[in-house]
Formats: sequence, C-alpha cells, structure tokens
Amino acid sequence: MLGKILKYEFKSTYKIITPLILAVLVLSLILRFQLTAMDSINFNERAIGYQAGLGLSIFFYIMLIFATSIVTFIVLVTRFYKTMFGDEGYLTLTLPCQPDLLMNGKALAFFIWNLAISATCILSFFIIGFSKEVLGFIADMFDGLRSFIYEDLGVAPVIFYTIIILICLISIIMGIYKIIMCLAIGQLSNSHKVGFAVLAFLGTNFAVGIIDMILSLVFQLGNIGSIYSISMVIDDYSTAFFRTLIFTLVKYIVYTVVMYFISHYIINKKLNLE
Amino acid sequence: MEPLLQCIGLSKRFGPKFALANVNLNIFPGRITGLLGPNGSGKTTLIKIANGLLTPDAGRLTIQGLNPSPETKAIISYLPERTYLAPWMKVADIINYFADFYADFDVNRAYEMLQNLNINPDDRLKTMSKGTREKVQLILVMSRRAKLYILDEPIAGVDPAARDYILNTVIKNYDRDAAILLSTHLITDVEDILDDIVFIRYGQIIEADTADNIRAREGKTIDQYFREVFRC
Repeated sequence: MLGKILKYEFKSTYKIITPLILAVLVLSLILRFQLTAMDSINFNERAIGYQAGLGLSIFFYIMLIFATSIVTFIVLVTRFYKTMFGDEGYLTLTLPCQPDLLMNGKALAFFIWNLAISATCILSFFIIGFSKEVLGFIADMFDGLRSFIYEDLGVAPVIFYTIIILICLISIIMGIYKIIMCLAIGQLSNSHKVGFAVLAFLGTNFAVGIIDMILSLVFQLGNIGSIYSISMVIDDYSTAFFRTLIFTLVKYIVYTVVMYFISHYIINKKLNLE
Repeated sequence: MEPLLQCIGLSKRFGPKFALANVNLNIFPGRITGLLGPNGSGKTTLIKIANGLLTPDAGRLTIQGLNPSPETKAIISYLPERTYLAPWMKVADIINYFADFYADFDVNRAYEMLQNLNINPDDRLKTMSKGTREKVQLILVMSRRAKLYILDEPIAGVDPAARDYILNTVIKNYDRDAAILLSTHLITDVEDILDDIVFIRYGQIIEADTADNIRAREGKTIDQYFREVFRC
C-alpha cells in the first residue's frame, strides 16, 4: 500500500519538480562551459560580452536554486493540504488504509524530494567547480577535519560523521512533521484553515525557541552554533562539542516524535473536512 | 438478518450543538435506504462517521460489526456531496487509481459506463462541466463491487435528464446482497427506487420504516409525507 501511495505522490509532483532539477543541472553545465571559456582566453581578450553572459548565468543560477527550493516546498505542502484536508481528502481518507500510512507515505515523498533537491545542489556544485584543484582542496579539508576529530575530539571520524548525518536527516524529518502538524492544527478551524495553519507554524517556532532557551540555561547546552560559548563555561572543548551534538540530536528526535503524535492524533480523531 | 450498518446511541456534537443525538439505526443488505431530511439535519455527519471521516462523541457505528477502519473502507463505496477528484487527472488515470487501491473495482464496468455516457477517458476533469464530473464520480463509485454504497446527494448537481441515467446506473450496478444508503432532499426523483425510509431532523431519527408501509399508512407519496413532516 505504501508503494501505491508513493506512486501517486510522485506522479502528481514530478511534472513540476523534475524540470526544475534538470534546469539547475543544465544551467550548471552552461556555467561550467562559460567558466572554462573564460579561463582559456587571455585576460585582455575577455570581452565584456563574455563577462556579462557569465554574470547573467550566475544570477539565473542563484535564482533557479532559490526557485527550485521554494517551488518544491509549495508544491509538496499544497499537495498534502489538498489531498488530506481539502475536497480530495474525501477520497484520500476513505481509501482502505490507515490514516497514519497516508500521512507517513506523503511525508516520505516529501523527504525523498528534499534529498533529491539537496543532491542536485551538491551535484551542481561539482559540475561547476569540479577540477583537480577543487578535489585537492576538499581532500585537504577532510584531512584537516579528520585530525581535528581524532586529536581534539578523541573519537573515530565515523562516529562523528554518523551523528552529523543523523542530525541533518532528523532535522529534515522534523521540518516535514512540523508542517504536517501545523496543517492538521489549521484544519481544526471551521473557517480560515490556512491562516490558522500559518499561526500554528509561527506559534510552534516560538514555543520551540522558548524550550531551546530553557534547555540551554538548565543544561548549559545549546545549538551547534553556540559550542564555543559552552566550551568557555565547562572548560572542555571536546566534551562541550559532543554534549551539544548529542543534545541536538536527542532534541530533534523528541521534537519530531511530539509533532508526529500530535499530527497522528488530529488526523485520526479530530478530522474536520469542509 | 444481521444489519450491514448499525448505529447504537450514536451522538456527535459540534461545539454546543448536537449534529447527531442518540441515533439508533439499522441498514440491511439488499435494501436501498433513503436518508431524508432538510439541510443541517445530520445526514452528512452520519455518513462521514460511517466513512471514518469523523469520530463519534458517544455511541457506536459499525459496519459488519466493525468500527470504521481500513477493513470497512474496503467494503464501502462512498460518493460524497462534492467533487473529490484531482482536476489535473485524466479519467483514465483516476480509473487506474481506483483499480490500484480498491480490490473490488471493476475496470470494464467503468469503461462501459463511460462509453454509455460519451465521456472520453482521455479527458482531464478540469475540462469537464460540473455535471460531467459528478457523472464520472458516480461511475467510479458504482464500478466497485462493494457491500455498502453510501451516496450523499448523488443527483443534486445534475440535470433532470441525467438523473434518470444515474438512478438506473445505481439500481443496475449494485449486487443484490449489497445495500445502498442514499441521502437526498430531491425525494420525487428517488422515491420509486427506495425500499426503506429514514427521516432525520435535528440529528434525531424521527421515522424509520419501509417505503411501502409509509405509503400505505399515510395514504401519500413519500414526497408528500416528507413535505408534511418537514413543513417550515
């Protein structure tokens, strides 16, 4: 059943998102050729036309990256809302499967598209900047990071990377369930369902911010960005670093679980279709 | 005979107002039941509970003894009062969708009915009139070999000529051991096909009997009796 749900999620979204992904990759190739062409001619010979063309491509590239992220987000959120809480919900929610499976199937499609967009950005970066020098630079960077992890943090790099990857993945999942939860809260209103969903989103961010602040004060821990200030307090950089990483991971997992169960409760017990 | 759908003390409130208040009702296999009442009487709330779209505040509604669940959804074919199909989809896509999700969906029956109504399976819903979209929905719903068909205002949005086709479609396509629960306020059009009548007002069942009994007892058509009972 999950396979069927995913099939129709992708079928309804790929026609908009896939062309954007392809456009990013094609523009990356164009940029690559333009940069190669710039390198192969003398500085004095670089015509103003080349420079203007390159500038225009960079501008479009940046716009396209933004557009791809924003359009993908809007398409997926709209799709979820329409098929679960709009008129199409009358069909979706009377399919012979658990509402949880529907919700999680849609969340999984959301997650996969997010990964695809992230992968596209990384691939695009390699298309534009791939060279021996860049590869050498990346290799040097990882060597430096490796010695920092071993010598300063005293842990195996695989553990460090696993935690970082988990934090990235969980933060994407948390973001998806946060949106689902806010849409579910919004549909409880008999009018202004979208407005209430936006209010719920702002309220959730505010509440999460307050909880983060309280936890930081109580446990002297915070976000990854505040490791330096924490290390000043507990006077041990590696301990502070790891405590913060683990704390962040656990915090994201707890937030995700809470958001999941609120969404689960509303979709199973408090549906309020128009 | 065991009821296919059973309500026992079913209640649902929206704020302080009762949409359903202590409803007791049985729907039996092989019967076409008309759920009749004015706007806001609780018909759609009852139907939504049967389809798992709302949860009751008190009492129970069961289908073949089961609470609304994926198992009951697999045997109920539901036509809501609104268009629930994605407008960007072609009719053929929607048929595939139904065939994918419902094991009892009869693809051949669906294409046959589309042909009878001159509806092109390659047309997208957004290019169709409201009436044609409603016909497509009805075709999809009646192409399932379900145990219970729940039709919420199936003829409200179509022209009188199409109503006859729709009602004939309903009668011709349901299996004789299945039941139909049909909600409408256009009683004249459906009166002839109804076996049982349920009158509902302010969330309470005020009359539940066979259509023949009501006609014999009151000496009136169901439509005339309805107008008398629900006179404003």
